Amino acid sequence: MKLPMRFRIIHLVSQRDNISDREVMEALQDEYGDEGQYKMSIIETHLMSLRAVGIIENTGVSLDENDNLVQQFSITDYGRDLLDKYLPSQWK
Amino acid sequence: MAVNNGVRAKQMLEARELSHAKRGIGWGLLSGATWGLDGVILGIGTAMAPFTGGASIYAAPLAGACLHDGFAGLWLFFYNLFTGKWREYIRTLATKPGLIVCLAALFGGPIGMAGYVLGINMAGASYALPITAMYPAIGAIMAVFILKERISWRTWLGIVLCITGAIIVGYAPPEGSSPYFHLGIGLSLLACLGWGMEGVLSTYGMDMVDPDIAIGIREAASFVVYFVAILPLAAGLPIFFAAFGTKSLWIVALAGFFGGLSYLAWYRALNMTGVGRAMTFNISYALWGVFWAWLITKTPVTPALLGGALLIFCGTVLATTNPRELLNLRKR
Repeated sequence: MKLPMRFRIIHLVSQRDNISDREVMEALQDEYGDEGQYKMSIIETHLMSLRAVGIIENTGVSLDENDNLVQQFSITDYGRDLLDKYLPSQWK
Repeated sequence: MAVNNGVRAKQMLEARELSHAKRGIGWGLLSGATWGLDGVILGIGTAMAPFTGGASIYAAPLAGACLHDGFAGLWLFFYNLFTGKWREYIRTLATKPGLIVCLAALFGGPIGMAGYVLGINMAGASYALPITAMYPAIGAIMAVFILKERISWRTWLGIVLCITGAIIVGYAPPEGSSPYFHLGIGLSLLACLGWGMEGVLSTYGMDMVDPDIAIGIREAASFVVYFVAILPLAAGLPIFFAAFGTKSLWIVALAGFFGGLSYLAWYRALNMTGVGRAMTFNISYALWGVFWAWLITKTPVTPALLGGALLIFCGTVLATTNPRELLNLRKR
């Protein structure tokens, strides 16, 4: 079974040293692309909340050629602990 | 140029994070306003037939609470259907954090809400309401130990002022003693513990779960436990079924709509601003309840109500004076 999207975002961030908000969006397309919740605004809100509660952290920020903010994220120790505890075994 | 871009990007990021935390405060306030409205509307609905009868003093309030949570769950499901998140229900229930949300539902629904309505019934609203309004303090204290949440002295002072205000708003001398008075006080305390624990557990589970789905599951789980376990025990099922086809059902459905909205706002606020702060805004319901009751049922506003309301207002302002602190909720 698919993971809930927010859970999958945490999992995705944990698999890379660094991942940008756009790369998260692209990586989720195959699994969630046909669902109404697959929107940049919803994914951004998940990333912001996950950062605010300390599961992921901001590792870099820049502006792209159109002056849009691009954020880089990586998993924190707390986030990794949560994944160790709660990630369903078939995803490990 | 690159350096300037870096500085500007950081400023834009800070502004975005601050606005995220501020939106969390907005959701917290909305949760209080709609909970107050929910209480007044639910009060009107459950003062009508068939909620005026029942085999025991527990039956009618519990049947009303069950219908309320059932409708709230239904409206939230429609909302999640609309936003394209409905598939997340099953996916979330298949994970442990999803089950923690169900456990939180058990604390908040059948323990918190049932304690609340029964407490009001047995001890009178003037005693039950101030006691249940103390739940943020319990939630915040539990959050410090369980979630290692950072709470400044200013937020603490805000919480204390809000609770003091809520006590003044709800306090009135007792009118004779009911034989169930002490049981009612005990049930109100139980509600307080239930709601405090709900906040902590749902934040813990919801760090990983979408709050919109968490609240949908919470209301549905609460309804199921009421319907399967609580109502049969309290002889509430006849009242539950008798409500269908009456006008009161639609009023309870409207209360359920505001209840669902309130909980949606509360769960979002919990996730965006932290347990202690979100709960402080949520108990502004004591103040909102006075306002809505004045507007809808023409309940008079007394000096004690105004004084208490002012304290709650000050407490809420105090808890929000330094939004920069909202950027990092947890100790690292």
